[in-house]
Amino acid sequence: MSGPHAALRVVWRAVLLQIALSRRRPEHALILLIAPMQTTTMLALALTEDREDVVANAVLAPGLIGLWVAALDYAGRVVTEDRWAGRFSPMIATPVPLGLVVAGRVATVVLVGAAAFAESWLAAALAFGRVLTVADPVPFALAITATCLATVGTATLISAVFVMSRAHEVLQNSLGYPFYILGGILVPVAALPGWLHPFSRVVFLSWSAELLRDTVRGDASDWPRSVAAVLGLGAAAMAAGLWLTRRYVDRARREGTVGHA
Amino acid sequence: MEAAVHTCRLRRVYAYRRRDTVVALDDLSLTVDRNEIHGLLGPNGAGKTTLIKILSTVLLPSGGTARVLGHDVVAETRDVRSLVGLVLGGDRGLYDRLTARRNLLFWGALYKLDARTTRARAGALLERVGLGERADDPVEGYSRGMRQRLHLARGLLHEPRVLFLDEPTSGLDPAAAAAFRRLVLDLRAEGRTFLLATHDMDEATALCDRVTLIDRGRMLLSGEPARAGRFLGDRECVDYTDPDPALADAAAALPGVVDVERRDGAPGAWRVHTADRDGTRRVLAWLLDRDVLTARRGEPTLEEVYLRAVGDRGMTV
Amino acid sequence: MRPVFRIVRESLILGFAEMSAVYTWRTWTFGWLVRLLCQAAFYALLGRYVGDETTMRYVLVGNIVVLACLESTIVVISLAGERAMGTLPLLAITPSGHLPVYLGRGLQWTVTGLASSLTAWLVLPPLLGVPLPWPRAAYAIPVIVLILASSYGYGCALAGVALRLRGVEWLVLNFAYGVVMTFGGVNVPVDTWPGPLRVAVEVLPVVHGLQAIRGVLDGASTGHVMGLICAEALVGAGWYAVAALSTERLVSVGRRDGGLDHA
Repeated sequence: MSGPHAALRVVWRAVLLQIALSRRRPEHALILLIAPMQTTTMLALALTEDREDVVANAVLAPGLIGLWVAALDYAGRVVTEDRWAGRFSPMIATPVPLGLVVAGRVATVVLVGAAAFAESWLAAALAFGRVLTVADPVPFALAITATCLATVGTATLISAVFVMSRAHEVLQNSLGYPFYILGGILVPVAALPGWLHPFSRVVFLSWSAELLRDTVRGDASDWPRSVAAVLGLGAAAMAAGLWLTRRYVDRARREGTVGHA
Repeated sequence: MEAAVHTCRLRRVYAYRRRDTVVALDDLSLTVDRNEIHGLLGPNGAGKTTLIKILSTVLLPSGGTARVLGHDVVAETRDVRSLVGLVLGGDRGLYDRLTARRNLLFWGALYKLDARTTRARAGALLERVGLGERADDPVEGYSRGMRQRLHLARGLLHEPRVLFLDEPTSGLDPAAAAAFRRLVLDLRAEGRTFLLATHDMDEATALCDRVTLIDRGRMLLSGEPARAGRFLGDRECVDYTDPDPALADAAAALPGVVDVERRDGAPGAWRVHTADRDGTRRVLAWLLDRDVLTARRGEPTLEEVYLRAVGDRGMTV
Repeated sequence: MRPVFRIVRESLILGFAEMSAVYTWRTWTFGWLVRLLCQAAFYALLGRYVGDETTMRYVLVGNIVVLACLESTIVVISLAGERAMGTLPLLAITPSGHLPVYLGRGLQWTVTGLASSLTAWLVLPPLLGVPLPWPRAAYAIPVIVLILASSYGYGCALAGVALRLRGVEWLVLNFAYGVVMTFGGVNVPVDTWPGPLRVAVEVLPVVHGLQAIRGVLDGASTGHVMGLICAEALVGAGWYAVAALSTERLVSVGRRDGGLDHA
């Protein structure tokens, strides 16, 4: 098996597999349960303070949280769970690069996470009568796509880190809120203490959040630069994730730890 | 004196999705005497586990009655619970993160034993089941056999007089299974009664005073394992070993011989079914005349009886 | 009383043993605790962004107190684990019955919940520049303990649902404290909500206790605060009653339909 066509087929197979697995697991609906409640919390707070200008932040933030939670909660678990269930050994034995399988499955769950955007928008419209309209639809669509792709890349990296870490449950719990703050998904990075800014800039969420809000409001003149930053950070994470996964598999083969839970 | 276990037309029906029902126990009447080791045999889904669950008050019967040492399992649940111990097979039912000793201390608290008694009993039981040296290791590192022994220790903690064991030796290596059986015999010597569901015919033969074979919730036979064949009205037979098939053909032609079959297992092993005791005598003499010194009167094993009664169902359930 | 005390003790030992499989002291402090502090800080920062220091303090106090509820309700996960481990039938036939274990299996979360909400109470307000009025703020601590207790009862009651439906424990847990976080007066006052919702919210844990804490901080009259504390205790007692009934039913239905030991 070789060539980009074959690689795409592996990814597609992995997508189908993950859909089949997710359908049997009710906890995969977790994001969709949380998103409307988060929208409600954030919008209620913004509107109590008469801040109509923050409505966009409050509607977009649960979507971004949804993507991040998807990356952490499901995607991060893909390989770990396989190893736990004893599926790791047979998968390594196949001639397909493991990274492609992981990326395909991650892509599926990230799409579920993206549904949180739609839910959040609906919650704002139905519960608060705030219908969010997008001023620059084309850059907005590009921004969403780039954000989803970057999430897939980041999730690949996270899943590799989780597999190599003994304390992945701890990591999974801890990597949420610190990144929501750093990523400026609700409160803009500019409103954070100055020493945090450099850290924020390497978290793709910070670029995504700003870009999404700007495209909604219609002042995203510099959008190509932001899209490039999101995609660049996502690609870097993807590359690092694939590299780590490969290294892990090689080490597991050498040291005979493939089947260990 | 009341029997240890007595069921009368015991019935249990499971409902699935309102419409489908499965009869797990179908008017089962069974008596287990005090201080007996009683084997419960049958294929998967025969109703063994259902019976054990009803007797240990985990499950309610749909009909009929069941008594343990004279107490009704439905009306006198509380009394029954203090008299019985339930030992499940398999990997579940233990707290993996705790040590074996901590597991027992936890259950001791639930059985309302005071702290000192629990500690003393836990220590003694762990020694007894051979876990003394590993008593303070977390259970998650235990082998199947060690878990099984801990299950037994847990079931014995409140010193029950009747013990229900559900496939306690499944998945154990032969040495571990043998040790487990010795332990059961020791405990019986203390006056306890055992009802033991098992798939292992050798175990049932070696351990049980009586066995009951059930299938599809009905009793097929009940009696001493060595004589189980009689209950099926099994015929007399003679077993011998000889490589020559022509001898078998000749034997088949003898008067009083019903059938000759090749036996599984050993090469050149044959079984001659005879109509009666005279036929058996004749076949034995005939074989000895031909210098076949391996000939002896055969007794069908429990396994053969089981397969005959249940039918060779292979992998179907 | 002695046997109950021992069951509680053994349950706590078991709970911490299970926790230590996931957390060490270090990972708990730098993983879990930091995550909780960040969660409270996240909403507090939002409060400052949309409002002023007063808004920020309001939101911060709410989010610190709700941490107690968040941790207590994790009992849902611990109890659901009991089904997975196949211990339910064995528990059901002990002379103590299943109830002490059902109510004891998540107690470790109330202990860690107290630790994390107290840490947040001490650390976050000065760190975020909205210090609390000490020593008055110390009177809030017993109310936080009460909120831990009432939320734990709430968690036990909802665990009954998780045990029935299987595989939904994470959904139940997130729904349980999500509802409290969203509607319980944590970020915005309860009277922001429309009438029927405002009435429904009255039965949630945290709601009255949090109002009592806000009252303490603002120097409200003792009578007013005590009334709210009583309401919180009443709500908690109600949830314990629901938990007891629901587990009683779970076991009796399980004995009837044979579902007690299904994983």
